[in-house]
Amino acid sequence: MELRDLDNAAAFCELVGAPHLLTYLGLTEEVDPAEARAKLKSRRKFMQGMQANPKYRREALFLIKHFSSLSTVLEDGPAYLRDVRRRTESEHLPVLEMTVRGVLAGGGLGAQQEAYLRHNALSLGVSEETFREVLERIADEMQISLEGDPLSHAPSSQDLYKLLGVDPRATPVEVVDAYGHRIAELQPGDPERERLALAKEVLSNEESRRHYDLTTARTGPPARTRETVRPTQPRLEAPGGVSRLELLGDPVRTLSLRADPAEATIQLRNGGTGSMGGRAEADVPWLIVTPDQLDPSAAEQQILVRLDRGALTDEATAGVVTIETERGERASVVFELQRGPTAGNVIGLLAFMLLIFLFVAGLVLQM
Amino acid sequence: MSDDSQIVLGIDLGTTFSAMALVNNHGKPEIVPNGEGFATTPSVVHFYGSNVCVVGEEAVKMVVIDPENVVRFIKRHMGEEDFTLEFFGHSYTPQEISALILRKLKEDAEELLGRPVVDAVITVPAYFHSAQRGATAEAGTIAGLNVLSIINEPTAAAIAYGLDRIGGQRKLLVLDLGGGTFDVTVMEIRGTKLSTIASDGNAELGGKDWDDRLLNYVAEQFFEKYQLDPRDDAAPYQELYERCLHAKICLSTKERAVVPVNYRGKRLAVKVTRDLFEQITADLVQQCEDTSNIVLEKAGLTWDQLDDVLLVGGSTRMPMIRRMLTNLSGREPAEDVNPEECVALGASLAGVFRHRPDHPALREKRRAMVDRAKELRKPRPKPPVEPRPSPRGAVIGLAYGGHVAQDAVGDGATGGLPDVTIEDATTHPLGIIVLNKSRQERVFELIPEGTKLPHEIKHQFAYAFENMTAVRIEVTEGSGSFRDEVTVIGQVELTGLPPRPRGTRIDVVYSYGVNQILKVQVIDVETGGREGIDIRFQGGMTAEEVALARGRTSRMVVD
Repeated sequence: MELRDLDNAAAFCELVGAPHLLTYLGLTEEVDPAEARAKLKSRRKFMQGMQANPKYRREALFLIKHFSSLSTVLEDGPAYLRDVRRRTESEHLPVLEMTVRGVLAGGGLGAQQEAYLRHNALSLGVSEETFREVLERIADEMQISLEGDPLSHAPSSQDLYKLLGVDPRATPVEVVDAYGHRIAELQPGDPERERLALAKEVLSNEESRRHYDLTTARTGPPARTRETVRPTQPRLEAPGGVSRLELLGDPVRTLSLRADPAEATIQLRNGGTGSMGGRAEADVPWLIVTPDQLDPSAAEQQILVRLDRGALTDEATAGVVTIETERGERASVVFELQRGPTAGNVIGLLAFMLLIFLFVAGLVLQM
Repeated sequence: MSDDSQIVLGIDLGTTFSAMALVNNHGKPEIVPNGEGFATTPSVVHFYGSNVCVVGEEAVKMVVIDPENVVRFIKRHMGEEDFTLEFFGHSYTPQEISALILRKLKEDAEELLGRPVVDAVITVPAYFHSAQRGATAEAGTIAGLNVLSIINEPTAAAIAYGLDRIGGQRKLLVLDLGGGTFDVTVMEIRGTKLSTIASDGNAELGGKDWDDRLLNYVAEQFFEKYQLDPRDDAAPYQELYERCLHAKICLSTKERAVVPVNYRGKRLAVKVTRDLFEQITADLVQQCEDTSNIVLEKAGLTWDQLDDVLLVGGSTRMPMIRRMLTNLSGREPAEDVNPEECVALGASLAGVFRHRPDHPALREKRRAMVDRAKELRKPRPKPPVEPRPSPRGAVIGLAYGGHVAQDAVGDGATGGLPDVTIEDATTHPLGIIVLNKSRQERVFELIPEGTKLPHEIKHQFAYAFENMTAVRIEVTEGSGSFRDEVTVIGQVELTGLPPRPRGTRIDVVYSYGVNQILKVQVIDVETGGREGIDIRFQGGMTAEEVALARGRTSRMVVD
């Protein structure tokens, strides 16, 4: 199969929203190629009758036009699937690389950092092998030993912001400028150049900078970066200190309809220094959250979540309360609705039934 | 009846319906009804075996039973590369499928007339590009026809209409909204000359899009109620489409219609009002309006400068289209004629004008003119010929309709046809790929859009490099400055030249003839050596493929 065929297959899967052709056809990955091709052929035949159908038109026309490409691709299942994986990974690889850079620049590669990075990688859909390969490559680049001990000349022993001489609130543009100035003052061949280059790379990229800031318990105000994701949240300059949101207790709780009042408390702690302002919000109308603003100066606080029976609908099964701080950290608690009797109710009911039974039995005995 | 060699069949090969017509001995164009007795034939083919198919109404009936083997709207894929459909183990290109439709028309005509029919003129939307025109010509050849020319649909309509107006000077706008294509053309009639001034359109906008909107609306209503979508299954979708089509037609005369849906045991009667229908298709009407304004601008005219506005195509029956045009042009549409037949009628007339100078109708007129000239020895001031008064600026459907013979047109005395010349204009600019001063590739336009045909232009270029021994000319179609914005429709190479310095002169000649053949010539100024090709607007099949397809299709049984 040629690249063109694989490109067509990828374009088609994107068009129909399927991870790959085999899922589109409803087949397993181990299916026999002849069977897969036969199924594609019958799908094409079906699509011939759907060409003019506004709902399926684009899919039908693409399949008819590029049928031979897609059929060729199915001849070698494993090779095709490898290509699929590579394509999905390559989408997320840049982000992963930035994350790894940021974290490694912050201080070697401890077990904690590695776990953090692995978690990130897997959630991006990157396979273990690719993750390890990226990790080794970047660690090698940055001269950090994978055993975890930062080498003496590793950049992690220095604060990158100080290295470049920029304020931690500097924008990416200012970082690059500062780098330019610093570099100009140095002689060519100076090893310091490498360290500066690394610092610039990590600090001028949002992704890597974020991870760097998170994994280094830095003193100083949080970084001022381009606010593209949440345009409405103004960043507070916390006077000295970076806050850290911590959720205590179970992230999944139950609320029983039988209980009156049906409510629960969420315990929050500020694990860092600095003020932690933020909001708490429920995503369903039948959960009432008070207070809905966090107390910025509190080290520990409680959020009360109450069930509003009036707003409850018959189909409701669960709701999520999300706490979001001004720094962008989020924590969620899921509240599952329990409509049946609670344990306490059951016991109460049994006790009641027992009482009735005894009463009746008593009556009977008396007769 | 005229002898064999005189018959030129005018064929309107439409997206949803096709029709054919002939000019009789009195100069009157008449629709030739199909084998079932109808003036129009649905452009639908149903394959029910590896060598058998049905075309027309019978095929439409089968669409709800065997949707995978029925083809509709194939015109939308004419000229498209790599598009084939498979039926019973055979692959068919759009040209081959259109050929089957043409074959049915041809055979029905032959049966009715009792004689073979070979020569034909086929129409295409004015905005079709060269690959699409070529494909249409190929379809005719595959069907066993001798395609004399490919004519623009609005031109054909104007011919059928304009004959009544010969002798004056009129400017008209033709709005053609068919089943699948949309064209707006501004034309001018000056005496016996009919010419295209400007044209634009959308080869992918037609009545079908209105149907689809209605279908989507109904399907969504059903889904809201039952969480099931009738569009997901082929036969139910086709059935729903038929019902929506019916409802749309209903809404052209009534204020409300009902679309019944019966899918997987669930039923729903979706009520649709004309207001709702107009709301969900408002943007389509807006497109029509915008294109009309653009074409007028291209022609350098305003709405009040037009003498007539012509409605062509079944979809112009929709009140919203008529209303839009009334608002734009300031006139009321007239209710008389048949917008679905005029293109075929005009095509047959065009066939006679261009290719049958000896047609009895024309001959009579000429003889009469010669006789009269002999009479008038003394030059006498002739009274100025008054153009026959028509209701000033009526939005008119077509002058001819139906197959009832009417009075002969033109001079009552001699009968026959006036000698009309038709001038078409290019609808896409033609150019050449050259290198500019910075040695970058650019497209240089040699024949702009809207140029009247026939047209010839010679332009001098220079060698871009030292010691070139060969020159390659790439002919482009379409507007754009870069290679990927246009289509290369042909190449000429002049090789074996003695090496010459940069800057040596070379001439390139583009001759665009009436038959829509572009002759390209490259002439070396010094030696006079030349090389040329005729670009005949290829449709994507080679001559061999066409011959093969013709053989194969002729063996098929077309009911």
